Amino acid sequence: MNRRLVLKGAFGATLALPLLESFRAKTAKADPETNPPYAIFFRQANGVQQTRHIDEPERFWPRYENGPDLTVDAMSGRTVDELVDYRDRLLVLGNVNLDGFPDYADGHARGAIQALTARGPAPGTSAGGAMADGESLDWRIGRELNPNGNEPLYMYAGRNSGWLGGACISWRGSGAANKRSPIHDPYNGYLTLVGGNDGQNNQALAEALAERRESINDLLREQTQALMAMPRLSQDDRDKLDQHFASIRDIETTLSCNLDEAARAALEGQSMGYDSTDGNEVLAATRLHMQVAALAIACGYTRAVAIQVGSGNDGSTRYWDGSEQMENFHFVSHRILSHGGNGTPIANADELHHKVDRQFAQTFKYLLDQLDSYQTVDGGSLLDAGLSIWYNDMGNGPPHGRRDAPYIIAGSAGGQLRQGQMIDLTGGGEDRTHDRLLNTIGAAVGLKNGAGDPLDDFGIAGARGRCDEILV
Amino acid sequence: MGWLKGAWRRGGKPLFVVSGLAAAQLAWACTGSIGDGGDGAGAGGPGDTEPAAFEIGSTTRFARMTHEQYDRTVRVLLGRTEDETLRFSDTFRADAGDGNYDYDNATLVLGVDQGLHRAYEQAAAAIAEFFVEDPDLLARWVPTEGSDEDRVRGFIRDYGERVHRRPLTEAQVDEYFSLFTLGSTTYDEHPGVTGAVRLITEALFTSPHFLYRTEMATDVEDGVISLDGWDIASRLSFALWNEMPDDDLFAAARDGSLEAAAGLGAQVERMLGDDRAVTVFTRVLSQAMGVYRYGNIGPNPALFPDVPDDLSALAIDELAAMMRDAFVNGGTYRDILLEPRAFVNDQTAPLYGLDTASLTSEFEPVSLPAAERRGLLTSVGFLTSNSSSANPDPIHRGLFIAQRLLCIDVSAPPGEIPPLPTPEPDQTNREAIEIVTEQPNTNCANCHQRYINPFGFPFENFDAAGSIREDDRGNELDLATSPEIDGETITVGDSLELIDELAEREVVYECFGQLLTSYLMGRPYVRQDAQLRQVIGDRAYANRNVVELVTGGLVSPQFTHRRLEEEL
Repeated sequence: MNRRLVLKGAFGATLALPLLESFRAKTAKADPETNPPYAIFFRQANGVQQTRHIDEPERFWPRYENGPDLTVDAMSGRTVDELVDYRDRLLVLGNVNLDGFPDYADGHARGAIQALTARGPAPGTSAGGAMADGESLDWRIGRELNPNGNEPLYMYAGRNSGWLGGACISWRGSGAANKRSPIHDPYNGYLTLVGGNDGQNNQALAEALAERRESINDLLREQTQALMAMPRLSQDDRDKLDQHFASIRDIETTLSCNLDEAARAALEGQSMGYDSTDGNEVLAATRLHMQVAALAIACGYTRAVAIQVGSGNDGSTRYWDGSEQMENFHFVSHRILSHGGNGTPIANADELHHKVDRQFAQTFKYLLDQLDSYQTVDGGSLLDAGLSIWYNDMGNGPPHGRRDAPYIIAGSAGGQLRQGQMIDLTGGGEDRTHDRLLNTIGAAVGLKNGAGDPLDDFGIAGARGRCDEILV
Repeated sequence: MGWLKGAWRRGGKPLFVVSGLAAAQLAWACTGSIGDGGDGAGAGGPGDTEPAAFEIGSTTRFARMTHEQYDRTVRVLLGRTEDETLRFSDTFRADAGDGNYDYDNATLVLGVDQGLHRAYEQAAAAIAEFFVEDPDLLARWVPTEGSDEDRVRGFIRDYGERVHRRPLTEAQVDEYFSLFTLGSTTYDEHPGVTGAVRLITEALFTSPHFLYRTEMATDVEDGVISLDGWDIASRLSFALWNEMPDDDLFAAARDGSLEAAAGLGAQVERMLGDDRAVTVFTRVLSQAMGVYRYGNIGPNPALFPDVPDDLSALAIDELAAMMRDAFVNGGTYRDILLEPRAFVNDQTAPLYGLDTASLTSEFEPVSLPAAERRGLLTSVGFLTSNSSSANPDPIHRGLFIAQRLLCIDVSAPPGEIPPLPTPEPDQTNREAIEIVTEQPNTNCANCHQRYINPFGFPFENFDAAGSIREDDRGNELDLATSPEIDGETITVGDSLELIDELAEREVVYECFGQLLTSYLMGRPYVRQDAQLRQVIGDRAYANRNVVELVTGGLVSPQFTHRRLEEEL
């Protein structure tokens, strides 16, 4: 349990009394030692409705003709105005260009897999069968910075099938064997972070359970180690057993960020929409994922969370336009009734796409509200201690381009990133800038390169440097 | 390929292709070879041993149970095989899909992470409680005679053998027995032996020996590992029944008969005659035949007002009925391709131009005019799953044939691909696609013109709802093409001629062998599987029925051996 946070409001989280006194300790300002930064990645598919690189009206970006500041006027009437309450704590990034990586052979694969890995596909894989060729940034952060070997949370709302196999943004490494399986049910996410102590808040029961579990786990570790010691194991099998061994965890009886009974019941009872095609249900499940994510960060369980909505092309979720359900989002993003390039046009599809964008913006704001309801020991907001990133696999609807993929960052990781502005990353044009951004995020959270300096070498070989233009 | 490619096959590698079993030398953009499948970490054994007697691709020694296999196996262990409502996996997180593999047993991606292990722990606790609350289970597995220690050790040996799916070593028995004291004192409601059994049961159901199909045999013979009877029993049972072995299979493992050809053959025959095998292979064959695309089915109601709203689900049922029939009634792969009949119900019959009289919601086989339709490739499911909402999709129809019937390895197209245009009023769908994909001297044309479009255009007389059409919005249809099959360019006048040609080609049956080989190995096909593919393919070409094809694979040495991995 991380002792640096207290709950200010929402979601019924309770913190154990024995820990409260530690909150009395004050620090002058956010300190990386006591308020370690984190990153939450919130992924939307299919681009956004914008005017860059496509002949459609601008409905997404803030107006920046009069300067970079995110004023009410600049944001008004654009998708980002859903976040106007947080305008002073936002960084809106333009000119985030992914690499072309032709081997992906598909814009969705290129975006969804590259977005957090900054790499091309694993050799011999492409399109719907594309696999990552390296670990994703959320995994890297968790692997290096999480306490107690906790895996970073990865949650997914949408059908567990479809393009790229459904969940597809978080990877332990290269190839199918390193594709991460996400948590679908938000309640499972909660149970994972409370470590099997299912929130009864009964210390005696928790300790009895922990004792039993520890005895069993000792046995399981011996069994697993015996398997690991067998000769002539393939590398895939060694990796699988290593992963299994790391998954055998004792129960922390001191964990004290359990939800109260009512909150747990609510979470359990509201978990039905994670495998839906109904956009409202999917986004409702996503909000529950965000509750769990905020709790996981607040409790110090993880320093990274990835939240994915929809499959590789979000091709089955049907969002709502008032009382009317749209065609699936992929169709809408194509502006036609087809997953391909040939189909009946959808009337006003660009406007519908914009409405979907707004729903994602509203959902992102919900995450920010959750994080902002937690207070750090120095009286600040948990939101400001880390980076919450709403991003897209690609820039626009048709033609699903790789340029100007929207990245909206809330929070400054303790004052490291500029705030209240829209900034076009330098460079670009046809060149990628996205890899530098991932290095910037990783470095802000605390990752280092091989020399022990702030991260600047994550991703494809040749990807170097960070985006100094967005640093304070 | 950009945004155009949203609906390409899972694992699909669209457009740029090539090469089938024979096609080898192509332009730079068309690389790979049919059935190549990539390298599965070398052939036969490693260099420090004598060459293997046969080729075998690498397989995992730790195939984790799918969630369905977990539930089915737990029900066997709790004596509740009939109670399908008894599920302990409801809280398990779903497994990620492997986009290069169409079956459920994707051993590469089936791993355990912290979230899943926690769920396993909680399920095991519930299973253990269920066990000790059931007097029949206690009576069946916990000896009533002897000291408490003897009784608990007896339980560990007997029940542990079932859970581990092989006998426990004495060291393993001791490990589990180490939980005796804690278990016998930890549960107020279950003191003594019962409590010990409860805690040990909890441990058994979280053991890696339960969660994984652990292959323990290490005996090297002719450069490969000979699986022992216990390994083979589990391979068979999970492949054919999707659950742990039964008593007969365990007996065959124990007496060694599974390691001999006669004993193995007898068990395979017995198991394939069981309803559980029917269920498994109905699904496996449906997956092999492209059911992964059926979720895309959705003709535009404005254009096709008579199409049922739930055509996607109906088409899935149609395909399952067709595959089940082939498996149960001695059907061959040639039958699947050629038989002029369909499985229809009262909702789908009109799409075939059939009267609905006497039909119900159940799918029934009906004969079709041989001059109109033939087999799987003219089924409504195949045709609509490879259509846009408005128009037929000859690219995907062709791609399916290239990939699934000819096992052509379609490699990635370079760069951004523009979207296909909507056909002009005086233009056919074919003409619109040809303009985009067959411009002379382009990389697009290299592959589309040769390996994709010629397999798809002959089906242009079937609309996006799978019904026959006489013209394309008033424009005359042109169904003739010159596809290349197994290195030979032929000319066909329509889809029926193409299907007839395909059904004559040995390469098509070898490709089917490849699809089944992949399932039996539990991972994507690799080039070291070629011998096993050949065994199944030869049987298919010889018109052996589907059950006999599966049998051929199961009794082959590749199924009862494991590749000898390099010493790391």
